[in-house]
Amino acid sequence: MKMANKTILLVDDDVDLLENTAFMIKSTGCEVITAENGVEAVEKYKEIKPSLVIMDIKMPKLDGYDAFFKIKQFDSDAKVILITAYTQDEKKHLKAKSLNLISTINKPYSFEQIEEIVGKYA
Amino acid sequence: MRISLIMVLAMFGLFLTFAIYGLITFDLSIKEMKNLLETRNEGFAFNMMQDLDKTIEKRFNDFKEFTQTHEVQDALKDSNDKFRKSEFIGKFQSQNITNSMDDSQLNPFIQGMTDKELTSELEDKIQFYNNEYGYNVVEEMFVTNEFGANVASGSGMTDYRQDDEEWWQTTKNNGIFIGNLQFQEEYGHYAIELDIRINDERGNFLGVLRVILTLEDMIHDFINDAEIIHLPTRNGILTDNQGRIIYSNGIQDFSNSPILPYFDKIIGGKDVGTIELTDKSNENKMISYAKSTGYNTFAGFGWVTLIDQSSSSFVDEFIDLRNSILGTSIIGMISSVIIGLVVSFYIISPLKDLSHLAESISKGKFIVKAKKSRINEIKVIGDSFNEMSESLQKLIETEKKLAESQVKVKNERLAGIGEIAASMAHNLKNPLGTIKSSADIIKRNSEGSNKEIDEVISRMNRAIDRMLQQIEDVLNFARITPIIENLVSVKSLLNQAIETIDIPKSITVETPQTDLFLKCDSKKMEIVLINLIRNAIQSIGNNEGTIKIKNKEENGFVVIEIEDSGPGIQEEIIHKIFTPLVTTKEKGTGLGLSTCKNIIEQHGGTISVKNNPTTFIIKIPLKNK
Repeated sequence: MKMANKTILLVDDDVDLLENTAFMIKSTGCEVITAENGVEAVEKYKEIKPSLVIMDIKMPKLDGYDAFFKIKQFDSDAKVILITAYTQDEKKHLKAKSLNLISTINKPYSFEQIEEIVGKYA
Repeated sequence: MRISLIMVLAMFGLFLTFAIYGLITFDLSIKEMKNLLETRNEGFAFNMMQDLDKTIEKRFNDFKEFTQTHEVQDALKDSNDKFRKSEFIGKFQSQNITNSMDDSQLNPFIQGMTDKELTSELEDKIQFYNNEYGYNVVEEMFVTNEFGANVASGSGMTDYRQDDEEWWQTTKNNGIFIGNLQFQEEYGHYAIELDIRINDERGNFLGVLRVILTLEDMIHDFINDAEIIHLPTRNGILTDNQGRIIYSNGIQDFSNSPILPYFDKIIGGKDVGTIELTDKSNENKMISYAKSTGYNTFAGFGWVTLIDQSSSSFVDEFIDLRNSILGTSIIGMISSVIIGLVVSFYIISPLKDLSHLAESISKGKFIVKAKKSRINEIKVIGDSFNEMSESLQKLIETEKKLAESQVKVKNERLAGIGEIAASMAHNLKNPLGTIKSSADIIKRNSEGSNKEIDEVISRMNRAIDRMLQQIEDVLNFARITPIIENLVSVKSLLNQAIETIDIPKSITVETPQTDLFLKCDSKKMEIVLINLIRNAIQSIGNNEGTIKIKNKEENGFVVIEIEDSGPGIQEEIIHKIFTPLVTTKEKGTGLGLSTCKNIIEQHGGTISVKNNPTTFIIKIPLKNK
């Protein structure tokens, strides 16, 4: 699996998990840019325009959904996968779906799941 | 029994008793009254008869005494002497006067022998009587000597000789002759002949006194008595010894008057008595009678006094009384029924309403109001009822609010705990995610290089999975969010659930052939199905087994049955299997089934379980599809 020129933006406020996930994505051959909150994610997206965004929902400052909406405002073709948790905001979730949210994955995800998503959407 | 019925029966019985009592008393009173009247009328009859006989006896005695007066005695002795000394004497003694001498010779002789003094004496006597009584007592009065020739005459005389008359001879021989009651043509009324033999001091025959007494005189006292006792319904009657009416409302045409039809009953009866008769017009009559038994020296004529009284005269009064008693009773009975109805309407019905009210209050329906009654007491009760129901309503509302607030507090507390649990579970996911991804990375990098390390990593992964399952359970249980209903196919729900679960190869899952559509929160329903299928798998364990899933529509419900071939649920636990923290599994949280129950109940449905074979039955209402 060599996808050298693909850049993926990974967003999570849990730095340990962020690093591990970045490691997993890198092992698929993609470039990984990380961000630790929504605000940072939006900024970085604008900066590098990654081919895929994998973003946690529960984050300080700006949560995953709001960050997704901002990214979509900036680039309606943006490909975003949200890492959902149980305590999710249904309204925001439905709105996100209407804005072509590609997919969601549940925590904790496996190596295989990451490989599959990256392979499929990146 | 209803109060009104008791009242009606009691009053009805009371009036019925009154009526029966009235009727019995009526009969007894009638009998008593009859006896009383009988006795009284018999007394009247007897006294009247006695009065009559006494009057007649008195007259007889008067005339007997008169024959002993010296005027009569002297005149007769003188006349007899003259007769004996006269030239006719021989003829009188030797021959029958009528045969030997014609009246043309004899009458002048006898006329010449008339005693002027005695004649005037007789005339005086007649006059005296007539003056005394105001009516004719004596119609005829004359005296013959021992030869039958008239010596003196007070009134009327057609003949001068009486010795050829039967009565004269009878009187001469027997001392007295009483004729029959006869109508005297020349006087125009009834009278009776009385002849008395006149004796001297030594008892030698001197002559005969003839008196014709008027009926009017003889029964004068009787008439007075009869008039006194006379009433419209009571009449005094006098009959002769053959039952011909002499007097009844006045002196009757005696010789032509009919014989009383019931007279033989009287003749056959006692001297004084009463007979009861029913006449043609069906009227009851009571006839009390007294037969003449004479008075002192007078033997009586055998006449009978009757008191005729119609029973109706006194029975009517009693009948009136009885009718009024019966009338009162009937009115009473009718009014008792009416009173019963009125009581029932005004008292029993409101009471019934009140009891219904009490009943509905007892059933927890407090919004009731007693009808307004016109009866004060019932109104008071009704008002109390209304007050009570209002107070109860307030009380219940207060209780409800209290309970609600308690529930709210409890729910808030539970929600708080749930939130904490959910947040804790969620927060655990990040570190778990890190561990899991770390394990994955290590596994990737060392795979095949060290078998022991591989096994360690596998154990770590299993532990992570268990932790995740626990977290999932807690999150499912704690998270009570509103349901978002969509119309979904049961089949797709089942397929999604089955896809999520790792089903061991030894277990077959049979899904229904037909599909049904159900309005539900698909995510939540999936949690239920996953839980139930996973339980079934765990129940079968490592053995071979089958899980049969059926669906059907029944009475407006969608029914999903999940049946497994596992050993079933212990009987002591089965009834509380849906209670939180109850589990049969060593590693279970005891939250799965209670989460299922919460979710199904949130959908307005039910979940139940039975053994043999172990089957979980979910029923969800179809609602408006």
